Amino acid sequence: MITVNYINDKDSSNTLIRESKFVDSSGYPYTACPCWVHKTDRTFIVTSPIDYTFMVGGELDSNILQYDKKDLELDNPVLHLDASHFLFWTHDPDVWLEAIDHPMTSLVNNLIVVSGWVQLSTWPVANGLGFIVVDKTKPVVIKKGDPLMRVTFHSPDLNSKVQLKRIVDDGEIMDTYHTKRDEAVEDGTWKDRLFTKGKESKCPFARIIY
Amino acid sequence: MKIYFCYPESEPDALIEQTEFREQRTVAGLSPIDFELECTDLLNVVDDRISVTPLDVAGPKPSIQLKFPMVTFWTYDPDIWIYQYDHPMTSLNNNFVTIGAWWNLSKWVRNINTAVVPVDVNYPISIKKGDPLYRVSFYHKDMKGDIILEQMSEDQIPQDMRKRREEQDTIIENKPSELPNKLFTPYDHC
Repeated sequence: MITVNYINDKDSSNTLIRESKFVDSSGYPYTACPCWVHKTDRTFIVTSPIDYTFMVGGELDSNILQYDKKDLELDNPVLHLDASHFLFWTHDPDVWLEAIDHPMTSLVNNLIVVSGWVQLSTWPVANGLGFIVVDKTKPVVIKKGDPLMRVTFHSPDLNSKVQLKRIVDDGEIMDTYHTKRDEAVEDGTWKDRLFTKGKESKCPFARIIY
Repeated sequence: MKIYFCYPESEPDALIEQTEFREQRTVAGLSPIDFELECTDLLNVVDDRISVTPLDVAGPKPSIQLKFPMVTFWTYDPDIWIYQYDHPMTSLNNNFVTIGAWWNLSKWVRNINTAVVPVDVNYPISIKKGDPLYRVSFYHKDMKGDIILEQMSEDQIPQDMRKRREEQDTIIENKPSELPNKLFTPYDHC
């Protein structure tokens, strides 16, 4: 069993849901497939906490979207949804976090979240919602509750179960995270920490402040 | 870490020639053909490129096995896992979503094709040659380690892997309760 802690920085009502419980799959024959069950039970859905619609080239709310202007010129413009972040960390060694797009967003939302992975044991992660716009001639339409991406966690034993533990934060943990993250980016040590195998530590704060 | 793959010779060449590998850890299965399928009355469809059983149409929507592109992966390295899953564009372009699955490839060798669920059963599944249909990613306890993919021909599948594949078919048929132990436990625990 690996335990991953998380907090939500803006919307306390927004939670993570196991993929196996996100959609009622009862009646489908693949629910009897152990390979499907094993994976979906270790994958979590990140949903949108807000309703928001915009067009590339139209008015963009800087409180919700971050972007570089040059990235809007791309065939598939790249933006960042700054609506709500989950901060993840773990005390278990050598746990990786992988962010994967959700298969319905190209059709439902006209976007695809950018995938990636990091070494969570050395690099606490505030999950980003960077995405590309599929068709920039059409609006991006996001409804509250829409599944936007998936997160999953890998330890050296991929057979391990995953327990998510929600932590209530009064702002101190997130502030510390941002401070230490900025320091690591500034002094250049973040590159090593992103992909370096984690060291065991009993001190929870050591993980937050590295 | 080295992973071998081939296209089963039982598949017509036209069905397998276009599979393409894009990155080291994640690859995409591209359609080798144009294909269209109405999502109604599937049990009476005669098409050797798909497989549909009565159980597959018992759910709220049908599940359909697409037999293309089919690939066999195997490895001699321990604890390499394989994850076959959806491609983000199929819901928009093809009217389906691939059903995901993963297992310990070091312990379980099998052919991979894809099972899909239509997004809207009132419209056909429509595939153009070259469309990405699914993705395959590889995982290992050393996540920084390189994954090397090497293509072989069907007749180069080692005898021990052929035997293992046959034995696994027997387990699926006769001892399904043993599947979790065979599919997921670490290599050195078997």
